[in-house]
Amino acid sequence: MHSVIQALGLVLDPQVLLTVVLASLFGLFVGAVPGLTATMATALLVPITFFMDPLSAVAAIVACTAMAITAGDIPGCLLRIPGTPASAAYTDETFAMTKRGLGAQALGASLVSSVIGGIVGTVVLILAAPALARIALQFSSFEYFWLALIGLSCAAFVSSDDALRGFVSLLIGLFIASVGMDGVSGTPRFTLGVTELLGGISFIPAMIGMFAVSEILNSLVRGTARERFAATQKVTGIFRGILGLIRHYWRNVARGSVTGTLIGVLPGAGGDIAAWISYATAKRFSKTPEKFGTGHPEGVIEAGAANNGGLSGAWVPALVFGIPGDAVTAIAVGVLFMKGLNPGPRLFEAQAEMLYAVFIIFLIANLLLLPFGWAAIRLASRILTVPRPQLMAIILLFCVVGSFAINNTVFDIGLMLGFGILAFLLNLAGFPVAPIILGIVLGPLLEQNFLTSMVIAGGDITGFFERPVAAALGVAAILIWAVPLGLAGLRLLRGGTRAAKPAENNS
Amino acid sequence: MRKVDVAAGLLFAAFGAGVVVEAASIPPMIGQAYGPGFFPSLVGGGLVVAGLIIALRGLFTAPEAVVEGAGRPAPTATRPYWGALAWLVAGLVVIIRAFEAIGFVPLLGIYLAGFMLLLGVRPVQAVVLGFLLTLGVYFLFVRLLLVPLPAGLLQPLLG
Repeated sequence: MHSVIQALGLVLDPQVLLTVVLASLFGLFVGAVPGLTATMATALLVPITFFMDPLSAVAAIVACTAMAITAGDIPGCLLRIPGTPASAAYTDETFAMTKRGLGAQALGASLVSSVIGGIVGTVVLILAAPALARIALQFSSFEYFWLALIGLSCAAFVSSDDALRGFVSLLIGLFIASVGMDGVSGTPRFTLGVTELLGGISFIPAMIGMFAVSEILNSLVRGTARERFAATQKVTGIFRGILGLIRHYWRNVARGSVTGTLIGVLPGAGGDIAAWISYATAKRFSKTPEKFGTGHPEGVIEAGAANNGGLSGAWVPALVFGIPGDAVTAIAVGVLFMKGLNPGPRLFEAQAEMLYAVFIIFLIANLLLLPFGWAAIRLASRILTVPRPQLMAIILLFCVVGSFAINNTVFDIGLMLGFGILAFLLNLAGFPVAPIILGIVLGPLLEQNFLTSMVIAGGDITGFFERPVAAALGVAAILIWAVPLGLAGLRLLRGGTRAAKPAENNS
Repeated sequence: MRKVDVAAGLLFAAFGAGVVVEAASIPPMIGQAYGPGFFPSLVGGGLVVAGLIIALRGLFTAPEAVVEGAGRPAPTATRPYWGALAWLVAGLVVIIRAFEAIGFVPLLGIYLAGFMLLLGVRPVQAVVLGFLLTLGVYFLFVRLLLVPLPAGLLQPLLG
């Protein structure tokens, strides 16, 4: 209880509150503009959070992403263009509602269900994280090795339709993580004699390149850089009849919140996937599945709750084990490490008030969604007609200054450009980008825990299965690999080359 | 055959092979079975295998029409902005080279103005906005966040 009061004191600091409000406004804007994702919002925000105290930094990321994911529903509903990938699952449905004159209801329903989903996710985080942390205190390098491996495997298999492509992206991330001086022996690796690379590839410029610069390149090559979106009507009556609607579909709200949170907890799967799965579940369990796709709020409510639940859920493994659940938390974990606040069970003992403060921020951010989201919907036509070239110029400016500001070196601007081009090309060839960032963050964890474990076990592989929890995690990790490989093998035997799935562009 | 897959797969396999070779030259830790070269060689090996599978799979797969993001309206513009793209890349190279000598505000001001011009923004607006944005960010980072952005040519004015 004492920690909670201390935590409240931390949160009520005007600087923290101001940060939350500003980051929320920023997130709302970025989310509502099509083509700018929540991950991009985080990537652009990080150089600024770098100069804040740790709590403000985390608060900014939490508030910004919650707002961005929710605001992504607005252009989806009004223009049939999802603002962020997390809204893509139900864009057609909300647009159909708009065409039937139910646009306000669609946005109101997705907003309120987002708030509920986010709060459920936060409650799960508050209850589950400290309990898991107590268990995690017993963990040794063996368990951490397996956890990191599970995290990476999920990232590879879940983030793309094509597990093989996800796997390649992951390996690229792991390779990038190994550049620089090796953490155990201090041997330089893959530095090509470049002094700047001795300390490794800086995380923030790489991330800005992959999530912001690549998007600018993409819009230039696709010729959408000057695209103007049609002005939309003003949406009014957003909350009219909303209580009745939510009460009527309370099962969907509950199911979406819970499944979304659970999917978020899985490493590598975040709000995007949670929304797709929840939309599908809503249809399967609906009494009127034939209405789906014609402008029916049921799936919107369930998936709207799920993507915000997933966002909060992703923080469970990130805070407890330091193993991020999606690209956004991967960035957040990277920031925490840079701030010297290594995520993990010890954080719950040493910095309990800090963690409670983060939890309170989650609640505040999700509650702020109601008024802020309402305002964003009212201002939607203004936000959507922001001229694109000017917007991209601003993003470009922040990319350059943000990449430079971390280490005060122009080398990092070059890194940013290189990673921007790399991510753009990968995207073009259908390779997902998110596993790269998870590979960069988890690579050192995986390698160092492996090497430490090997020293402890005297080079004996069976040491990885001697402790009961390690054995269970090890079996899980092996199953994650064995099941898809087995299935692929079976398909190969049966259908020859039919195993190849069409690749889809997702990042 | 899907050319993109074949090319990407082969490229990754070749890169992976390079990583394996390079990793083999990393000196091992004395007395340890697994040294700093072990993980990179696994990663490189993985890239070789996965890259070859992707290439082979691409070789035997029928080419597909590219489906524009399911159900989305086609983009209104069709022509890529090659000029702006070239400016973006070449400009960054110049910025990296001349960052200290010319300074943040002149470089980025011209960079942004040119970028917007190439995307059809009216010249006066592009120049004014480019420099105003750059100046704003300059003061934000130098004064508030204490990032040493170089003043360069404008040292007498900004210093």
